[in-house]
Amino acid sequence: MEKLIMVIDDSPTIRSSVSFCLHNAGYKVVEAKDGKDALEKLSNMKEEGGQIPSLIVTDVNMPRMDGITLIEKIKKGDFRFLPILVFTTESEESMIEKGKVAGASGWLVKPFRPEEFLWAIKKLVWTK
Amino acid sequence: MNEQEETLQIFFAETEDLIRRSEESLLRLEEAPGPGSDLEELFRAIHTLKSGSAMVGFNTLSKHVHLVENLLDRIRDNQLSVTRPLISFLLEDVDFIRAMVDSCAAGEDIDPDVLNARKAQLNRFLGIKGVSGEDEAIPEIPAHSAKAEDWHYYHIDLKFREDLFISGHNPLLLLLNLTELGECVEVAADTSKLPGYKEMDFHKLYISWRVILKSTASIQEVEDVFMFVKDENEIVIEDITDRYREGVDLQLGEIPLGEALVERGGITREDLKSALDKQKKLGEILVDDGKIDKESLQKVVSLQQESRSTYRKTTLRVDVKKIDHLVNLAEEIGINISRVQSLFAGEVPRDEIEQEMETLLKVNREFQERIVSIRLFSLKGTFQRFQRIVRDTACDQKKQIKVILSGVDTELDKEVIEYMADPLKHLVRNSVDHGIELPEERVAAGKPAEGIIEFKAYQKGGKIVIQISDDGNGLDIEKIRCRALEMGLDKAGEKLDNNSLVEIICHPGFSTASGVTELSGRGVGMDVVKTQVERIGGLIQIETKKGKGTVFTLILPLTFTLTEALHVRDQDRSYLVPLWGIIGAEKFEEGRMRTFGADEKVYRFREEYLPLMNLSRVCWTIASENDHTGMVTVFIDTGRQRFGILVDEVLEPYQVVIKTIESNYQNVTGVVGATIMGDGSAAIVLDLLGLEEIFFKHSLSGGEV
Repeated sequence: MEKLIMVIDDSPTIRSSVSFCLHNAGYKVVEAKDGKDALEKLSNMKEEGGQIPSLIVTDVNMPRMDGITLIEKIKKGDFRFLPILVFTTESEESMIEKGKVAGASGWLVKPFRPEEFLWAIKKLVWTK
Repeated sequence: MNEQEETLQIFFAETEDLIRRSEESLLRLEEAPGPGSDLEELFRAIHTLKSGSAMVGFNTLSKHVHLVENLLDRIRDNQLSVTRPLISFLLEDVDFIRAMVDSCAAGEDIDPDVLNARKAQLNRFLGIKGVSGEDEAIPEIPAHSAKAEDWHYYHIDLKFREDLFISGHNPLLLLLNLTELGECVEVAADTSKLPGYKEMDFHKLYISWRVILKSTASIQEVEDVFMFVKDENEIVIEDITDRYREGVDLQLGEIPLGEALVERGGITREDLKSALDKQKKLGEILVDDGKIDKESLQKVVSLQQESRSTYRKTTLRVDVKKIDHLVNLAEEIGINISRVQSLFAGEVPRDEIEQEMETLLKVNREFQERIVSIRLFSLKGTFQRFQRIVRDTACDQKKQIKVILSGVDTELDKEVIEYMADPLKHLVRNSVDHGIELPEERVAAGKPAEGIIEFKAYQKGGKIVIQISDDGNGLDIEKIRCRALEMGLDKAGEKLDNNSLVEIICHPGFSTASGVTELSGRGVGMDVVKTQVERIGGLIQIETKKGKGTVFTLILPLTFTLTEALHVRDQDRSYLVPLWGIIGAEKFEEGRMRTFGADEKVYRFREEYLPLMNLSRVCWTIASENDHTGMVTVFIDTGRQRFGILVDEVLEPYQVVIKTIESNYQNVTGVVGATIMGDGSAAIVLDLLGLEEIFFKHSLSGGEV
């Protein structure tokens, strides 16, 4: 079965292009538009017993619930062992440190090219 | 339409929205310049636009928007103030961005002259003279292609932290990544730290690895494999090409024999350790030789131990006594259960079984309380941090303040402590900032130059009281009243008592002119403090005396998890009323009730008349007719208000386990959550402060009745 990756970003453009790249690489994708949305989707997946994501990829700066808060919340719950990859931008490099403290597994500075993205993912998701 | 085209469509739609939002924020910003939500909104829109356009490959657009973002960043940092010309310029630029997006959509290039002219103007605002030459390109990441270069041998030592898994990493995955760079000619796993099966925690990593990698990759590429883990773990990568020949590590001769034996000789680190333990310890030798006395040695050793122990902060350290007690109680419960079982087997009168059950319940309750107490921590650390805040803030403001701590050993749920840390910090800053006066002002008022701030904590019933008091000037009631009048919070001429004082000060957006300063004007406001406190079922009180000082009192629950409640039934539904607020319950007597207007009722309780409520106002049931015969009145005192609730029936007290506060219920005023009763039915847990809010809202807002 293909691995499922959850992509969280408030920009539909980024969500769409990241999903595109992941689809091409043979992953399944579920999208969420901010931290709150992501938490809701995760808890639904748990309740419904569906496929659990193998990786979470999240933006930092989002309305309603930002990426750092999201990570902190995930790290307190049932999904605490899930790897989490954080998107930052060059203007938010301090976020890498904050993300790490919160429990992020890796990070990637936007904009990035598909190869860079897949390279980072390979360190966090088991693929044949 | 393929997926890539679809992404572009999404991008154009999103961009349109972002540009519109930027314009709106700019216009609002013009009316109210300065940092705030409008600037943040604008910044976010521009920021998203930048990364989005870079993502779909419109680099010229992205680079231009990046400059705008820099400009906004300078406004955020107060290096640039918002002026009308600046707003006009930014609005123009938004138009320009829109035009750029349109030409991107049409697949046209942008006139480089126009672009450079815009850029020059932007740079002028940014304070950069002249146009910088070429735009910096995104750095290329090295490709892993094997050029016909020499082979390298890397010695890679991987010592991961035990808690690696919680950071989402898998060591095997990293090893697998290594094999993509070349061939792992030697892999050795050190399993000496692996504990016995029973002691093993499956969420911990006990193994470390040593790998020799043969690869054409550069050391940078090898390091990049460990990029996400290298800071927190001990990853040592060394190029040993010079000294590694066909399975022979030429440096083996230079390391201590013990180490070499571990690496090559097949002994484990344990073996080495036990062999080394047979030698005398360094300290002992030094003591024996008279080079150092035992006490100085002990001092250094204990310092070392202390430093090591501070690493393990995440675990819960529990007093062994607490655990022993739990074990005893668990045994006692076991004995009780078997007693009850044997009673059921024989023919025993019912009351004997009930008596046994009673004991079982008592022991079980104590068991639960003890378990909760494991989560309790003293307030010592928190108070010490406050001391520091007071010191630093006082220094900044040239104030002299002495801090008095009392009740530092009072214990509170760790989660409650963490939850309250920020609100408390805000109160502390408030006291330094608004409470204590400057030394000369104090002397002029006949007080000692040095002010006093006292932190006090104690347990009262099932609640923890935390007080922060200062001997400063007290709150300026007149100013607060004026401001409240302006905001329409208070009716003129009404006396300001302590309860309405809390309401006013904690109202969102409230501040007197002197109220907002560098310090306490930022971060959480009093409204947030109040919300946080009340959300966990706590209460905030303020007492102030002109010239004498102010006392902030927080009454907090000991823990989130367990609370005692009274089981009542009304309209065939079960409710749980938290026991802490109940002051009495009596059979309804018609003669003690008075009715006002259409629906307002009061009921005499002891010497006073209390408003009387129906739960139908909270839970949308249809209220019973005016005939209340046979019903029961439960009297509530929240600390601020007293009122009575009419219910059909009062049953037994009950211990409720409430899920942590951030469950799904927080938006229903008057309800904390729900719980399952012993018979499997559901009961609604009432929130007394929420009820108070519903019942007294009218009189507080001074509006419609």
